[in-house]
Amino acid sequence: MVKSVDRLKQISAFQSLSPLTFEGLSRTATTTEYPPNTIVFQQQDVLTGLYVIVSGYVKLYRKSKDRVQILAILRDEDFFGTECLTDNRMSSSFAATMTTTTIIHIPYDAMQSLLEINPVFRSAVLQMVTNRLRQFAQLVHNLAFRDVTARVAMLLVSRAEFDGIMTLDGVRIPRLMTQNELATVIGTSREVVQRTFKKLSKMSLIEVSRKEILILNLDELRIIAEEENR
Amino acid sequence: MTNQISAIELRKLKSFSELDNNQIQRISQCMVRRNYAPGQFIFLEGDDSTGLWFILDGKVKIIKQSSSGRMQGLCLVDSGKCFGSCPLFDSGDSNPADAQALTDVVLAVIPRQRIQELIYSDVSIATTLLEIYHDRMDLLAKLGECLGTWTVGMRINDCLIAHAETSADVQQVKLTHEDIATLVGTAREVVSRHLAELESINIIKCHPNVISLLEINALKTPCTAERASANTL
Repeated sequence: MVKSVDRLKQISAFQSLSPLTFEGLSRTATTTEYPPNTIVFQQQDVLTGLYVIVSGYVKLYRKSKDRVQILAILRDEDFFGTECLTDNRMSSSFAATMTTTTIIHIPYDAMQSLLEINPVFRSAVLQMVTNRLRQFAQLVHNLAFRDVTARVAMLLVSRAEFDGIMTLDGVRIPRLMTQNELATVIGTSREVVQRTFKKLSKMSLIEVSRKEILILNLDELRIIAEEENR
Repeated sequence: MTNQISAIELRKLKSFSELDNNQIQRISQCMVRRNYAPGQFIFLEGDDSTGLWFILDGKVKIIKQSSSGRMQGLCLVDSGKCFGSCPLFDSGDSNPADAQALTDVVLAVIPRQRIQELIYSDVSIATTLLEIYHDRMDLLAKLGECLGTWTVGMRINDCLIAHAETSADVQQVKLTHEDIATLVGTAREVVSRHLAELESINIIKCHPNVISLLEINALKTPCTAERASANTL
């Protein structure tokens, strides 16, 4: 529990809290380790508080019949579940872990209390939410204006910038998702993703193996990611 | 006409229905009135954020443009609602989309600096903004889902349902084909062909600038959308 509270202190939204407030928060917040592929909550569930990721990855997604669209992939120090602060408290998406993931849950009452007593925290929560809004707006832009190659390239560039390990051969990124999951992020099918990977490999921009993707030319991949062809 | 917004006008806005008279008074004192003609841009993507905009009368469309000029509608904002909330607290500070008047609009804007002062001084105003933001989030999440998983036909049908208004017992949509194309993220010609197909099977009736929905429930049926879109795509 001490370790989780320390991680909260590293997140800018919580840095304005006094030591006394923090101590109170640490008594009500709970930490849970989720196995991979576990649903944390479903779309339209009534949320009981805010979730903050300590380690691991969580995907936010919506389902339409048998098709899935991933809206965002969150990592450590990201949060989700701010809908708990609205009137109906209903989640706008599913949230599920992609790997073993440790998550801190801050109950609704504690969040309300923090909003009431701390104006800086209020502003920080609003900033969290507008960042998510901007992320969703960018997703809409990508789905509307970028073709599949550009969307795959954009995803790879994003992963490289957040999780990539620079080596002499290029930037290595561990395989976080199956090709099916990758397809649901960018709004296409697994077969199209496979063909796109082959295309980018033939262009000597990436090398794909079972455990990782090696980006050979990040600059060129960025150029492709920025192209709007639709 | 005065540039100030009265507390009475403000009270009519859904966003402020839970606030008390003092809070309403404080907000109205911060607001400035602005009028725009149809087609006029209120702000552009990338502009510095000016503040939070409320619609007293009229409709505004929020759109993103690609570098080639193609437009994707994010939403239509009606009277009583607001827009421009994203940049107020974002580290980016610029507007992520364009806002354009669809009709004659009367707007009330709270300048950015005043919004932050109000948030700091009053938790109810922060809560009101959170509610607004989450409405937006739900809308954008649904739009992402539509673009990623639905056929164009399904998106057009969903757009018709979402913008239907009742007039003399008839459900009508007062949008042009171009407006629908912008909202759905496709070309006007695609919309026109799809609507023609729906009209041929008596689901809708097209008039100049108005579409009557004769069988709204049929629009919700996936097979109706598939049949029409098979000819569209």
